[in-house]
Amino acid sequence: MVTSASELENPAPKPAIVPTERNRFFWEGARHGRLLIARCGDCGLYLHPPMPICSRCHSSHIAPAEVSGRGIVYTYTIVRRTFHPGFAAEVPYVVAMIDLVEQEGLRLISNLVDCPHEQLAVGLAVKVRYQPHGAWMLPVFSLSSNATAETAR
Amino acid sequence: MSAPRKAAIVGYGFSDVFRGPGLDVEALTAQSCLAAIADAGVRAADIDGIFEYQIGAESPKCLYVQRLLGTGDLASYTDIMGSGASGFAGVVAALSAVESGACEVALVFRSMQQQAGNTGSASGDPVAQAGYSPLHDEIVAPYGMFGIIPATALRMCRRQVEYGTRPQDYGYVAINARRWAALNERAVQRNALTMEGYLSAKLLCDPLRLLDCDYPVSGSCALIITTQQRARDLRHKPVMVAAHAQATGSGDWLHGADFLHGGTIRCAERLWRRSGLEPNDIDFAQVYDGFTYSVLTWIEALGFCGLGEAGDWIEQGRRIGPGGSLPLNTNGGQLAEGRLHGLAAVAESVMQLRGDGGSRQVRDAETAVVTVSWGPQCAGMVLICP
Ligand SMILES: [Zn+2]
Repeated sequence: MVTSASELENPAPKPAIVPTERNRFFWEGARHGRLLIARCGDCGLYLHPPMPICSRCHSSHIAPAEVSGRGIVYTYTIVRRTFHPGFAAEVPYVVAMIDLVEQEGLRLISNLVDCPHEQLAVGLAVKVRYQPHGAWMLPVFSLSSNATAETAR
Repeated sequence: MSAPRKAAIVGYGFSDVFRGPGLDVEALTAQSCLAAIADAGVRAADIDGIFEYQIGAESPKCLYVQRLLGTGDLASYTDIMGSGASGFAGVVAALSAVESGACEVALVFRSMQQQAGNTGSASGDPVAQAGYSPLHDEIVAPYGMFGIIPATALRMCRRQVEYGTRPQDYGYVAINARRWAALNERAVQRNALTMEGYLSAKLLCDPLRLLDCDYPVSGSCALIITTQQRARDLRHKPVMVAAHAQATGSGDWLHGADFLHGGTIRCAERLWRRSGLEPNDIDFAQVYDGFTYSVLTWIEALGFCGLGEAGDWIEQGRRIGPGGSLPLNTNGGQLAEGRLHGLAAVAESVMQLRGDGGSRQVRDAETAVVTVSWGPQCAGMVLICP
């Protein structure tokens, strides 16, 4: 991960988290150590990325709902190319798609952290944790067997 | 009752193609459009429809091109951006306009600049943008997830688990592109590639290598489309559009249940149903190769083999290379000819079906299937020239 020393060597900032009206709750939740996902108040469907109405029942009663933060690695990649100067000190890092346990196909793009690359695998059980990102917190994931992965909820 | 109007592709044209950025894209567009008009044997004044697709702001728009060419009044026209059917969006719009009677002679163009709107290749470093990004940049960029390259790598990793796809399976696709490109003077990557060369290419996002990406170029390609009836009076033997189709599948690049094949399967089903043809009837194929990955998925989606079987089916490239039973991407594709984004695949098909393929001519070629893009932005055509 980025250390303060490498950040000094690499002053280019990462892309900022810029909350929108639609996703502000997601970032606010992370700031408070909670993983919040938009959910339909009528039929219970989780919607991510968040949308103003439910794509199943068209209800407009959409509200943030806290989820367990437990998931399974659907797929991952080790990013070796510096696509953005803010990540120059981070490569190689792991971008993963995490299927949250609450609903089939409820998928989050995130980082898998503190996992040696040789241990990476599809199907691993993971758990959310939070990492500073500018003034905000970023929900990321680590192996759930790893004791350091446990975060207070 | 009159017979339904059917469309034909009667002309194609290319600009010069360059590896570098910063070229005069308006002049390149003029060059490709004039070449297509000349090839078709129509007059600029005959054109009453113009259609184009672009990703960002990399290309001139329809009205600019109307003024550029001095066409008459346009009875039908559309600039398509964002989540259209990618490089074929303009073609499909033109076909529909001609078939419906909205216009008689349609011009379609696609103009590329290396540094803009070209995120499918390895050159363009995408920039996170707020809102309406098809790849949800506003919520994934803070994770260092930038654009289509990692999105493709994520598919390749998953495909390895579901189907056992090997790096070599992609390698044979990359090698195939170079074999055909060696026969194409327009191609930018004409030197031979070995498996060793492929496997030692730089990893960008495991397991995706640099040589899995198409090659960025600046250039323009244009087509002229009209009715089959009108086509019979023009210069060349017309290439008939037996069917065209689009599909989006679940409609999302990242979050859909059809993550691996996207809309390709539905698009292929529509193509075969509407054309009345089947994979066995096809003489050659031009399938989208923004990445080697999309070639394998299209081969499967089109039903040339079962899902997950394309790696074995291509027979280490023998089946799809020069002299193979299904010549595939006979111009070298975007991997080796360069990323002209779909239209070049149509132009190549027209050339082959006319019998003008020169050293890379597919013998007795009468039927072709051509596809573009993948994920939720799919389109395709079945072309015949009996
Ligand atoms: Zn609902």
